[in-house]
Amino acid sequence: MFRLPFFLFFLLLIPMRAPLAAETDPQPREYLWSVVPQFSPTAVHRDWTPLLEELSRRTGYRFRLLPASGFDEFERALFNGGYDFVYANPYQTLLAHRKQGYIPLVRDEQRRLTGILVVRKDSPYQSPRDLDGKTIAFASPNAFAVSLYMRAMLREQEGIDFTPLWAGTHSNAYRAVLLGRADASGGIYRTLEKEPPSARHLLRIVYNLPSTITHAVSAHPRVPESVRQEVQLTLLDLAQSEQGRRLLSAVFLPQPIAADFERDYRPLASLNLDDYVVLPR
Amino acid sequence: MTRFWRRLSLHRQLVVASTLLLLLTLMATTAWNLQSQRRQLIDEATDKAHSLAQSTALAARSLLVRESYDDLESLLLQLALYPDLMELAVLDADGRILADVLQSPEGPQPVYERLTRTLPSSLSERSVSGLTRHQGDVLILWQPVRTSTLLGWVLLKIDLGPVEKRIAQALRDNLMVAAAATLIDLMVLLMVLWWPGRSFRAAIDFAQRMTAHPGQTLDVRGGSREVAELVDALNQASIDLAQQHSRLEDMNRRLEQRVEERTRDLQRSQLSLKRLHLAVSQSQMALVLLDEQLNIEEANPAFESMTGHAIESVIGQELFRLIWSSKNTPKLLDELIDHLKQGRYWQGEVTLRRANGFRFWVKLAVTTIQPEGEGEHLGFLLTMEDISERKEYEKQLIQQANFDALTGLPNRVLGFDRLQQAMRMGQRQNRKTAVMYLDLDRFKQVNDTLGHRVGDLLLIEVANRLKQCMRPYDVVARLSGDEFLIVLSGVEDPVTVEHVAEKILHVLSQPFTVEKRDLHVGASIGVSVIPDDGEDPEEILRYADTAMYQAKQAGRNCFKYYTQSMNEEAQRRLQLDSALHLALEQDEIELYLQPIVSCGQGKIVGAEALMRWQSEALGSISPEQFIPIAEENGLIDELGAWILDRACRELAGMPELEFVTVNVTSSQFRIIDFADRVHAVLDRYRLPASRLHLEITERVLMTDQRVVLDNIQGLQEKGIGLVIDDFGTGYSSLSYLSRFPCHALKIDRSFIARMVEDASAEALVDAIIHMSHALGVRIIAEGVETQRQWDMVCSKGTDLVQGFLIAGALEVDAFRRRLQQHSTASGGTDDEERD
Repeated sequence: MFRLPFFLFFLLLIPMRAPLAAETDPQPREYLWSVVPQFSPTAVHRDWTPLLEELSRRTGYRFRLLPASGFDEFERALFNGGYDFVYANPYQTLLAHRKQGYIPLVRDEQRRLTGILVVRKDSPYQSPRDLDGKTIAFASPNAFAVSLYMRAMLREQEGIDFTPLWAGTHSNAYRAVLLGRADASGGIYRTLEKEPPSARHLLRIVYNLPSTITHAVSAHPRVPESVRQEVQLTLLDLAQSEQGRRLLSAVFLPQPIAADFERDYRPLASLNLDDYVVLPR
Repeated sequence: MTRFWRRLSLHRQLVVASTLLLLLTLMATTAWNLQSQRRQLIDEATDKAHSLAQSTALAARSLLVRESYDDLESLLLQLALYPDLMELAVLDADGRILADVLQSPEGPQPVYERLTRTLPSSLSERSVSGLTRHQGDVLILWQPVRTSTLLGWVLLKIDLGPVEKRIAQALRDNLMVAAAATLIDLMVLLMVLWWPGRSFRAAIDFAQRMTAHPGQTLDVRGGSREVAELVDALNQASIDLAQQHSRLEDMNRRLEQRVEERTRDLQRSQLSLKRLHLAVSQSQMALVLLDEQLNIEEANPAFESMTGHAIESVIGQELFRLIWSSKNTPKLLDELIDHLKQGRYWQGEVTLRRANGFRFWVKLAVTTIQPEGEGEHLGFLLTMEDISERKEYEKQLIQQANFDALTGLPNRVLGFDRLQQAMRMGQRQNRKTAVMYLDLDRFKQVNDTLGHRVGDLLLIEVANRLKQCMRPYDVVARLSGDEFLIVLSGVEDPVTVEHVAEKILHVLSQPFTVEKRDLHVGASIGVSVIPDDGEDPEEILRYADTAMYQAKQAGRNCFKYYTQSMNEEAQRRLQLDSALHLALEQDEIELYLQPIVSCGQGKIVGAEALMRWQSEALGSISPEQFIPIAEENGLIDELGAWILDRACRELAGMPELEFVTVNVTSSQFRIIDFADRVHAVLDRYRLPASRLHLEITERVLMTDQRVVLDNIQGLQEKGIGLVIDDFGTGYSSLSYLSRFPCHALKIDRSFIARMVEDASAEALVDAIIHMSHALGVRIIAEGVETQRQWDMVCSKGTDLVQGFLIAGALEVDAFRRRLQQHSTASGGTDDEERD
């Protein structure tokens, strides 16, 4: 009996609310957020969406995740300033700052980035020198530890020549070794640990790089200072709660601290890796 | 098999058939179902596998092109969640493995051990449609991944084992359901068929039993309509059968009963005939069958023995001519024959003649033998009962009833009858009739002393003498004992009567010699005359009795005519008699005591207890008057007991008195426990037996009756003294003094009175005293009235004296006073106290 009047009341309410919301937030900002394609876009989406939703809930800003399907696509967008916020490897962070002025906000305190070279366990390769003239898979040309730093170290320190195979992602690089399409693959401990046990057991590490600083969350300079700071503080604050730590751990930021470009990332320029950078076309 | 099946009950057949049918049906359905289900399941699984393979191939296409093998692995891991999948792999066209996921217990796992797989040889031709193969329970699919060219293959292995398991499970389930359904069907069938089956069984049993127990009904309900109808029909049949059975039995029983009755009747009639024959032949009664002419046709043995005629010799003879006695009343035979001719029954007592001529009495009964229903009679039946003995006995009875057995004289009844006859005759002839009442004098003494036999012989002789001196038509009858009645009829003058009376007195005064003894009796006769004294025979007889009593009073052996005054005296006697009955009750009898003193000192030593009757109606009556009456009417025993009790009571109150004597009559001695009764009185007053003396007459001692002798002996054993009273008046035989030792003798007052003048009396007294002393018996002289008599008896040695000289009978108080005086001053006489 009274359901019809009730329903009519709501009908009246709906068109009234829209202009109200527009008035209170005249510029509803949505910030684009992307992540270095170490993993497949599906895995990226899976790991990052919960964190961004929590961040939106706490800050009131909206973040849209734009996972890149490969390093090319990612770096092109990044170096053109296509993302408001980005999670990128240390050298990308350095290049992004140099090209667009991206400002690192948060990095993990403890974790270090260590590049490794893996082969199939049943292969005869015991050292990097055994791989002279062989095919070595890399996630991408510009991936910092696994590719830039590794290629530079293999050519300049070990003195071997090799054919690179651009696999697109870390896991695909590992699979190139597993499926016999490459003799070795560059990688890092963090991504190797994420491989299924059956895969890990069939891989053997033949070479370690020196540890370097890890990835950072950076913001484009067009993002207002207040928003940058709020996002930085919120990410740091998340580590205070168990739920927050779980969300951070999924994206390899279990112990976040504030990042500082000059202190943390400018030193990477001294590695002289620019020759090895393959810029997107 | 068929036989076995036929032996099963319908119930079981139904159950077995139904169960088997159901089982078969369920099995067939299950098998068909499962088969089609299995096929369907496999088809489904194959279709789904194809879909999966196609989907995988489609999804893998771009990844192959991009060589994105990690994404390919992720895809396969996701798709490998498909149920029953064993392996999912993607290979390039040369058979190199690009991604391979195997099912493991933890879930799908990528494997990297192998780098290549051998492609089936037929695969190249099937690069468009792919290949489907079955290896055991495993379904293997090869699906090409293509763009314009063949990129590679998707390998899919599906385990069809679960399908088989599901089929097996379904089979188990179906079998369970089948079993359950069969079981339920079995139970339902059993339940549904149980009642009818049971009822059927009961009905069959019932039907089998029905003939043995018709009428029983089966009370079985339930089951089904057919069973109920069957049971109802059986019950109805049973009832019908029972009814028919019962009718048959009833008929049978009646038949048997009739046969039994007939048999019994026959037996009974045979028996009865036999018995009748035996009864007739053994009967004490003579039975004769006569024909119409009264000729003998048959007779029984009793007839022969009764009449003395042999049966064979008399058949055909006329019965009455043969045995009829001429002694019978002349017309009796004619009367009898008349009766018979009219067909009537005749019965009577007749005299018949025996073959030897002797006559005998019979009770004769003659009946016409009439056939049952109408018809001529068949002759006569004659029965004869010998009643000679009875006739003789009757004669004796008449004699005994009317005649005195002892004397043969008419008895009181006949005598009285004759008196009445004589009186009537006298009235007719206008003549007088004299009635004499005769009583023998002293007959009682004869009877008491010599016994009844002598008395009886005497009476016979008296009767004979009386008959001899009477005219034939005079009546002499014995009334009782020694009393006789004599009726003189047709008396013309008193002289005749007197003559006869004197003659009788004379005849009877003559001595009778009985058993060599001469007995002297006389008679007293009272005479009354009809019609002078009265016309009522009983009254006249009583008057004669009264006159007789007067004659006795007048000194016996004489006769007296009845006078009116006699009647009055007789009346007085009657009055006395009745008054005496009341005397004791009304306390009219008194105790008197007459002192008995010792000769020597004259001291009162004893007393004789005497009675006085002061009647309120009749005045003072002396013992001489009432004692005989009491003896006649039997009150004497009561009086005797009374005086004994009173005397003892007084004696107990007088310790100075030595003894009391109490008179006892012969009738008291005939009381069986008399001695005990006396002793009981002594006990009652705590008296020693020696203080009581009983006075008895000589006649008591002379009897030889057992009871009297026992009582005397009993008294003596108890120490009660006996005093013989009136000694000298009777037979005075001293011999019994030795037999019955007594305490004292009382010399009769008549001797005391006479001995002063009569020397013989004096001599007798002397003799008595001497003899008594010799026997140690004391002497009491009674009736001492004068000093002369006192002197004489005392001088002769008499111990004790009693008489008016000392004192008459005194009232108890007076006696007690006298006793007290004597105890102080003894001796002497007191005339003043004379009675």
